[in-house]
Amino acid sequence: MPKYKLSILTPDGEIYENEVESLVAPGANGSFGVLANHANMIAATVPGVFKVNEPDTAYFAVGTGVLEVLDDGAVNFLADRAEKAADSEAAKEKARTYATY
Amino acid sequence: MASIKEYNVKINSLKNTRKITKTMKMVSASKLRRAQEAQRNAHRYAVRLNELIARLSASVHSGAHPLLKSADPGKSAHIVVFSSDRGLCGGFNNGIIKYVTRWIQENKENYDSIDLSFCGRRGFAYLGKRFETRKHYEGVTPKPQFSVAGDIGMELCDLFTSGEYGEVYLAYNAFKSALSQEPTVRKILPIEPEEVEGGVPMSSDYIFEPEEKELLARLLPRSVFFKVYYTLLENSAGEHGARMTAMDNATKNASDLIDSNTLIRNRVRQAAITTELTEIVAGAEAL
Repeated sequence: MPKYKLSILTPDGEIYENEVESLVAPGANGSFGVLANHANMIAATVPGVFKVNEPDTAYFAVGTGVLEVLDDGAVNFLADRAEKAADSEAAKEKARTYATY
Repeated sequence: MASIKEYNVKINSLKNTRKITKTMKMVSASKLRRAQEAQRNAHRYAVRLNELIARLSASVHSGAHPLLKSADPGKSAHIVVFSSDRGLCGGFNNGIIKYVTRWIQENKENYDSIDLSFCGRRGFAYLGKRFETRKHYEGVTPKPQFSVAGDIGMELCDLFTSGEYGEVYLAYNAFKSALSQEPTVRKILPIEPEEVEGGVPMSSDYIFEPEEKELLARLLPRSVFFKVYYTLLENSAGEHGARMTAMDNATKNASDLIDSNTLIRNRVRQAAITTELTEIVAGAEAL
């Protein structure tokens, strides 16, 4: 599968940067996925589980944030906070403690 | 003149003091390095966030956000004063306390009232008794965290949007370098239009989710949270920088004192030996 560049940036620094195949983000209006060559987009996200396939699957617990798909297909994700978690359950548990404003 | 023993005690205690100040200096140096690292990381986030806000606000034409609306003149103001929790950092806290006191004196005719909130115990201990105080955020300065800054920022936004305060300021020591910090009072609310203008409007084939206006409404408070967070970082970097300088001076002073005391002690010892010798010689002559 084609890949694109994803970087997850928080005020504490860059949490993740890699070439990935797809991601699933907890959007403000329901979760959505991004594959390579996605159209330009800016989307707000709420605290929840952020899933990345590179093709190994990685899970992150993320706070409120905003995701942008740039012209060159790269994705920037700005989040209040983000933490890597072992699996989707752990990420869900962690994200529950994050503030929702 | 004090005895040799007394000088030895004094010199030993000075040496202990020097050990402590030297250690504190080294600890502060490493903490400063960490704080500056955090500042660098935060800066990258800020650049992206501001750029995004500028572009979004350029494409949104209708209706200003509540955080952008300038208040009626003469309304009350709120200042959040940042200081450190601990002392022994030279003029760091004194500087900001004096500056805020003067600022309030100079600006009090412009507002109905000026209330203060505090991050950091030192500022609260002094200014809290002298001015109207709203809240003291305890334990937030030693380890700046974005989640904490978010909570503080949210409260400030609420106070502003509810109309309780017309303007919100942050008072803190701007970090110039490890050697110098400059007391500053900076307005964070309302957000100045210049801060969000100047972006290139986005092309119409962008997908927005939710729509642009609501996106902007989600991002603008973040820029306030971020300013609070960055101020916490600057405050912490400044504190460690100031403590490093203060402790370096203290170490130098202790060394000087040790040198001069050692000199006097040796002189006293020499005097004692001379006296003893004279006594022996005098005793031998008498025989």
